[in-house]
Amino acid sequence: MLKYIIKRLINLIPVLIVLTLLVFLLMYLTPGDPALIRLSSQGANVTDELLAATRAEMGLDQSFFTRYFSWVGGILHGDFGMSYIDDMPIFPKLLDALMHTLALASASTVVSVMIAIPIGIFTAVKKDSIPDNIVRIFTFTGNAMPNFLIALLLMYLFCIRVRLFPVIAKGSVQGLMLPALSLSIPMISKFARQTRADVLQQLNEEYVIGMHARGVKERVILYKNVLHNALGSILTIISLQIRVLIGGSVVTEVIFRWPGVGSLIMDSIGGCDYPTVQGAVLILATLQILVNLATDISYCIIDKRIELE
Amino acid sequence: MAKNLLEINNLTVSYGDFKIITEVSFNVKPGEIVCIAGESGCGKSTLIKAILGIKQLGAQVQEGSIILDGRDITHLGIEERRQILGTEIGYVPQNTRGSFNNIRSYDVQYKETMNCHGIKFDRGAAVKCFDRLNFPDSDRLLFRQPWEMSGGMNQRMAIGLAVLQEPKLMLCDEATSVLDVTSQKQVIEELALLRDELGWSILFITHNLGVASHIADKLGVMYAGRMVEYGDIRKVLDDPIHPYTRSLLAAIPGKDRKMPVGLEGRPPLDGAEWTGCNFVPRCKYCKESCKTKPYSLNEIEPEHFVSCAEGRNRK
Amino acid sequence: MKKEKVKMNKKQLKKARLKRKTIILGIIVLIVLVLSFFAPYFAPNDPYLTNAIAAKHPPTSEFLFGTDYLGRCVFSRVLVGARTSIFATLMLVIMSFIVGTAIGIICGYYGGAVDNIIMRITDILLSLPQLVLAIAVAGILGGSLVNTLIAIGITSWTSYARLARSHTMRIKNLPYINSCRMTGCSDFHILLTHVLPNLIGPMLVNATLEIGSTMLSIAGLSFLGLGVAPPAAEWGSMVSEGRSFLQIAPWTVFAPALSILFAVMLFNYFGESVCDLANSNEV
Repeated sequence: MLKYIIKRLINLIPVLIVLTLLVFLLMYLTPGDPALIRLSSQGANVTDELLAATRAEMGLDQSFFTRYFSWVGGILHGDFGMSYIDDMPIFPKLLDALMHTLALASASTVVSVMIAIPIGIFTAVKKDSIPDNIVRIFTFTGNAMPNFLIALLLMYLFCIRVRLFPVIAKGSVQGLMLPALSLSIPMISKFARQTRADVLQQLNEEYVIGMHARGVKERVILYKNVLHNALGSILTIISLQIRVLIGGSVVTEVIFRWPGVGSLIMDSIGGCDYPTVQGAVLILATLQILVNLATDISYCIIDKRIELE
Repeated sequence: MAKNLLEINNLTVSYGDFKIITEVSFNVKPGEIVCIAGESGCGKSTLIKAILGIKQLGAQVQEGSIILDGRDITHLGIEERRQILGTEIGYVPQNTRGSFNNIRSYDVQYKETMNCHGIKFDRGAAVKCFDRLNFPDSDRLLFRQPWEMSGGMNQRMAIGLAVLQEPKLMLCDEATSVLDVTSQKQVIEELALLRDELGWSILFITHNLGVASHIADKLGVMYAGRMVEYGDIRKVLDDPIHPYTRSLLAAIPGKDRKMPVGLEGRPPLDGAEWTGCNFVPRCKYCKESCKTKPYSLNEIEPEHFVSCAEGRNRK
Repeated sequence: MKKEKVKMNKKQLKKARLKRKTIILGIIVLIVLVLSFFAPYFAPNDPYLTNAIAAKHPPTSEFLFGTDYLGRCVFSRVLVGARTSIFATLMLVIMSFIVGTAIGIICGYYGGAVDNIIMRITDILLSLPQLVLAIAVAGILGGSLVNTLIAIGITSWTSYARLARSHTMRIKNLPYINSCRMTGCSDFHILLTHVLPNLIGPMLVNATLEIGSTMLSIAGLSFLGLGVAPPAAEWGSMVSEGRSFLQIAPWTVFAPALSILFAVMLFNYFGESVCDLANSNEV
């Protein structure tokens, strides 16, 4: 087990190198002169001397790799550079936004899992019953819903028609409910479908008959064996959905003005504040990679065969 | 004479509307090993499924009754049935890896099964039981998972669990068919040992008459959903009467390198639906009257039942 | 035996029903495609004609879905937007399909260091949040339809490449490919006449399954204002424009948003039945 974890950790290194290269390249290839963008977004009176001085200060005259390594070195010390807009360090802002995004993402993941897995098990056991068919219509629709439609629909219903929640979330717990709900609906649909399919597949396995023949209780078969074996692929779909969730959270955060990383990215793109975009993308991608790692490790705990591959 | 442990009376079993077994009757006495032999598709596995009575298996008893130790278990409810499965009826399936959850250790699965019957699981007792059955590496077996082990070993773990649950009747559905010859021998020896030491009754389903002749006390031969010959194993094997039993025995390759004599044709698919003898199309002793005569199993000599004696008359 | 026969017939019946369903869905998809392509010719009003007096007007018989904040006919804009939204999606799916399949086949067939490097890259790209990367790329390149497609395309080819690679590796080890090689066929010939036809089926099935999610990604980007530039009609950007008027003119938001929902549902349903049909052929 430890060996497997170490192996996976070593595998992370090239992923992180390529990720940082990619993000850095994104900035490097940005059209326009960064020094000019920085100065103009701060509203300074741009002169040739000032421009040259800023260029030297930002290290723009150095080679690609020198700049790359100093950027990566900075990140390792928690220094993501300075914002173009207010010349403040990016890191504290990023950290604050990350906390908000984490709260939103984990709230909606937990809600989705808690709702979707029981639904999935229930519909698998009661396959082709009326509730199963109703749930199937809901999950199919939920699956095809664009994030913004759900968010705007919820906002229209609960903030405008019934004034239950504030329109602007502002990072409060009460404000968290609607964004989390709007992220949950497509996830619930995906998880419930996957759980249903996996549980159905497991129920057709021969060990289920073997256990019935030994007089094992239905409940024990379902929750300790079928669910246990299905959990691996359920976990995989969860980690795949985190990828969609992180993307979707940008849309949702923008709609509900939730001060997370997604809002930060959009504001920074609007203000041409590229170092912040860079840092935010890096943070979200790293978050995703860590989630993948955690999934793989827990999969390995459930099914030891993975370790051997 | 001892009371019968299992009585099968006039049992007719179907999948949906389609009959698989018709009017099968036989008894299993305590401490007796009964083998049921026949081609694939003759309904021998269906017989086991009917006795187990798990609804997922799909076998439905249409007529007749199954009586275990004086209690009619033909139409038990789900919970009542669950209580007797495992503790009164043990089951070793054909698929060696299929009867346990592949990715959980035997330890938890044994414990879970015993707990469902309110028996306390004792690791030491399990290991002792493995030792008695001559399992190799007995003290570490419990902590392994089925996927790590060979088919034969998994089969023996299923037997091991059955021993701990102490059923009166053991059902083995082709329990040795997919094993190699060495594992086959081990499993058969273990079953014989259990019969001798614990007085188990075993209902053993196989298509291998060699295996049957090794351990069985009684042999039943099934053909297309009907029992055609049933009786003491020596009598059936040494003096087969039904034309089908005779062709089955003729089809076993001998030591003298003689080519076995195969049987032409195939069993009828809807054999269980026929009212008369369903072996007629393949029978070389068939007479005109056979086609209309209704099926019945007659005691031709003590402990030897047969549905057709035409073969013996023409010997 | 008899039971199996009955079962077989049931299976065949089920398959025939599935086939009919898929064909009907295929025809519906085709109709939607043709309609959206010719939408500008039968839109009831000019989708770009602004009218300050009739702004934010609720649905009437003249303006079926009402008018937006500039008084433009929402119904006509939804119709015209269909062309952009649907064809951008199809274009992206087809492009990623071609690029991904080509890379996958070459990697799978030749193997070696190039294969290794490309597969590591796909691993890494697959482990990154796709939409965030696309947002950053589109944000930095500037909003336009082409940039949106590029931004999503950076990651979308990877799943095709992986699938094509695994199929190619399976096919190239089949005995008849070796026989071909022994009779002196060139690699190019083998790839084109033996490998490609054998994997095109499952690849197309995968592509139809991807249409829905690709459409959602594009809609998400254009909702964020990183897609089509404002005056042009496109479903995602229409929702974005209407968002500020959610309270007074909800139809400007929900008409295009529901169009996306129905289009994605249609494509997903079609993709699923194609997939089911392909699976039932295999068994």
